[in-house]
Amino acid sequence: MQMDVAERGDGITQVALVGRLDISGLHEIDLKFHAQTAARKQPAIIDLTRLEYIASLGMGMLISCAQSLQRKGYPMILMGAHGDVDMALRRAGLDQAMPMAGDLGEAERLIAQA
Amino acid sequence: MADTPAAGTPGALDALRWTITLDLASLAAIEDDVRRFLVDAGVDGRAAFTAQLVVEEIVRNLVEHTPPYAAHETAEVRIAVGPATVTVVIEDARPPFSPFDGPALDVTAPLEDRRAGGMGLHLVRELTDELTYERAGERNRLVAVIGRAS
Repeated sequence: MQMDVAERGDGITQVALVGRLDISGLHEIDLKFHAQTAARKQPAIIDLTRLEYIASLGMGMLISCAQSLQRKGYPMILMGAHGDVDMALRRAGLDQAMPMAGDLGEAERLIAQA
Repeated sequence: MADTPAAGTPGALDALRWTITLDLASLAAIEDDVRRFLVDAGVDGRAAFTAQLVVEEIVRNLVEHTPPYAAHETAEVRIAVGPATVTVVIEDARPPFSPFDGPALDVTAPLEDRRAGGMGLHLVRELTDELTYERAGERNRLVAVIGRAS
């Protein structure tokens, strides 16, 4: 499991999750992901374009960080989920709890509107 | 630990069985084996995704409800691949626990009301084509059937 942080310099955190967010994957990135999202005071875009697998443990990490940011007044956008990852997120109702964008442009527009 | 040959190897089977102790490290250790077995058996797409999810969610739930003094106990995970379905069977000797127990997940709840609890079993119920649970003697037995064409 890999986590790539884009240095945008515009007050938006952009983090890509790459690989499989299974139990091993979660243990590899959990603390780093919280540090890059929940611990910061700015909106976040989570790029799921290259995420291959996620189960409820990984979804719980996303929810926890989105809630932390929400309490500070910042949105967290899930971007680029596709295939089975997108299907699982929607079946768990994450699309009802936080914004999901198809691409980076849409994610940036959602942040601008928030 | 797997105790039958992996598919795709000489003498390969279209079924594989793992016996694991009830701790997260043991579960994490078989996740790659499960994925490789499914790939070698030609299972892809949603069936592969769901079979892996069923193993992770059910065994993790079992681990989380197992007190430390019982963590040496084991669960058996079996996956069988057929032409049209993948069948996952998980058995353990812990107290009775049905995946149908517990409140339904409110998938429309706003972010501030979301909790991770219950999401895994909800996904298992949602994504499998057939899901059965029985208490057979002193053992729990869960059977999940996943269509390969879905």
